[in-house]
Amino acid sequence: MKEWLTHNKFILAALLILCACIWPVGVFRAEKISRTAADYSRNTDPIGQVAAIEEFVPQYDEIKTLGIDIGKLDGRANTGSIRLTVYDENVQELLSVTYPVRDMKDGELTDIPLDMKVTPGRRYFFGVQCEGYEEQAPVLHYRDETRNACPEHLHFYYGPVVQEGTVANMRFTYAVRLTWWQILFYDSFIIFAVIAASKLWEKKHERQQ
Amino acid sequence: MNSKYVKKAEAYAPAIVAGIAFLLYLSLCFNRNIWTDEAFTIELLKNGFAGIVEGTAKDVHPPLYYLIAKCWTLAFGSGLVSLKLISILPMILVIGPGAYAVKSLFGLKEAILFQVFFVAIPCTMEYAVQLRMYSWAICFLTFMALWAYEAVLTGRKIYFAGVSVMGAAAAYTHYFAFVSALWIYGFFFLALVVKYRKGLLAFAVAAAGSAVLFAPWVPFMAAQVNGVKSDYWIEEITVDTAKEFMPFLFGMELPWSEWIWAILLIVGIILCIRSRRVFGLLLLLTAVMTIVTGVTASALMRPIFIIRYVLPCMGLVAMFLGIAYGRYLEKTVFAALIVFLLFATLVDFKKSVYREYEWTHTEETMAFLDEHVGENDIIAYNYASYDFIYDNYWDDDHKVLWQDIDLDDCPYETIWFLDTIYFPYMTDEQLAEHGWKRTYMGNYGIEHNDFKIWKVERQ
Repeated sequence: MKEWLTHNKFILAALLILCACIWPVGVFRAEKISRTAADYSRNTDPIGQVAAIEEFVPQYDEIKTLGIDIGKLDGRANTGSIRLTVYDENVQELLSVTYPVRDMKDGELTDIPLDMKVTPGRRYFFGVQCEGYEEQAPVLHYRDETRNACPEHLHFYYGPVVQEGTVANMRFTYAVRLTWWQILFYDSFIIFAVIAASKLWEKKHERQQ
Repeated sequence: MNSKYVKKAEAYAPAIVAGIAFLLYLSLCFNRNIWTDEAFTIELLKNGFAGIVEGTAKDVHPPLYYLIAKCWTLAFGSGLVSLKLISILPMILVIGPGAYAVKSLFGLKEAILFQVFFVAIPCTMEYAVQLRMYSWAICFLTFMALWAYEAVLTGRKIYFAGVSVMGAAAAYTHYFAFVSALWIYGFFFLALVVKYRKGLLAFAVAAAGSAVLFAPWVPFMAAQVNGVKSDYWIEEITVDTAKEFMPFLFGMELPWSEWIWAILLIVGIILCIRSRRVFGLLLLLTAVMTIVTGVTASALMRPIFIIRYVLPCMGLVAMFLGIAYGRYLEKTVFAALIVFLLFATLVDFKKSVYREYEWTHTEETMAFLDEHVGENDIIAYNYASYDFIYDNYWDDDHKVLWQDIDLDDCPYETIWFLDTIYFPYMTDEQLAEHGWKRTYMGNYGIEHNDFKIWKVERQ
């Protein structure tokens, strides 16, 4: 064993480093989705001058994408960019991203990448507003809270006004830690690949000698 | 270790792996989920043999799977578990007897790797328990290829006969299995030309045999092709749809998982080339050429190919991987590969458990309706296309299409309305006009259909 370890210390180190990248470092993460239930949507007024805001409580510690559902008013609102801004519970801006309206689906959820660390259980807000539009700004779709809310939803606002009993139609895609089985899937592949490579190298070395 | 015990262990090892695979597949059977195509199968099986042939002729697939399933239901009943077992059976034929054939041709390591690769390839587990023809198509193509190889090696007529029957059976099971069978015939011919020219006559007889066996179905196939030419649901193959090929076959809903499989395939190709195991390469090439044929036909005619149609070749892909790696791996590497494939299987199995038992709300929906629907009540639904799926859960005395209900002359006490969004419904005001009101009961669903359940009763 000792002899093996001496001869193969580099291989062992490579193995440990690669496995550590999977766990505990966590270079790969799985996905978890939470979304509003299927239902008929209602339209806010245009989100050009006034932002639509959803107050929410994330369930996991990293939001990969946030899916929002806009209406393009029969194609009249297909210009400009959607600015999606995330605030903490003290309404301090944490992150702001833009996404071209023309690249968004009409009346369906479009996932906007955020890759943002959050604290599960704390309150956050995200605001959605359209910038640089020409004819008209799009509307945001929202639904009845009782039949459709997911665990994240708290209150939905249009500007400063709470829209009682409603929630924005949205989809939270989280990046979550791998389960043990998933970690072992990657680790066992790394172990297989490293052992196979080392055996190949050994054989080549023997042949050369 | 005593060589007698080693020999015994080697003899039983493939059977043990097949037994474990059977238990894994069986554990996925105990649910009441069915999706549209499975509902079609169940509906078709309510007919006699002639009715099944007639019904299939109006559809887009050949009839053999349905005929096998009909025979099975006559013997073992038509319960859902029984129907799912029909799909498991060919998978076990591949993993069991198929693996023993691989063992006798190539060796134990190749056989075990073939089995474990086959179970671990992510797309296979779902279709092992689906009430569809894919597992049978996998079985026919796998044995066709195996027997073609044995025919080239031994020249025995029995293998030529086996190829002939399996080729016809594959063609009668799925048209893209037919395409794959044609490619196997093509490679079989080339192998005979190179290795065993004496077998060319037997080959001609085998090919003619397949053609004769399939001939009765040709008029039906022609009609189906014409029907598909005028109208079919498959969308155009674009770069984006092509990008989904690998994730569908090898994706595990984990980052880079399909790349891991891609690496295994590429290394497998290199190993096969190095060891000159041409048979292994031809197995993979059959799958690749089936895709190429499908994509080309779609471009020339109209879209007729989706990546699901290459599933029948997955036994061939697993055999390619088994043959490629088995030749080279010494004990430690072999063990490491088996451990990796074991975890890949477990990750995929957990995904399958979720898909079969937790993803849909079927059990919750059934429990809710069992608890609430009274004797004078009715279950109404507004998604007319799901009619034949609902047929599997309730008979016509207990369910009705919402659009067919006359609210002014309605004999029911309470209507339990399965409201699929974007299909016809009524608002509170419209219901009130007829003297009814509704109460929201919750979000439920069956397989790919989510709906809200409303309790609709008189005011």
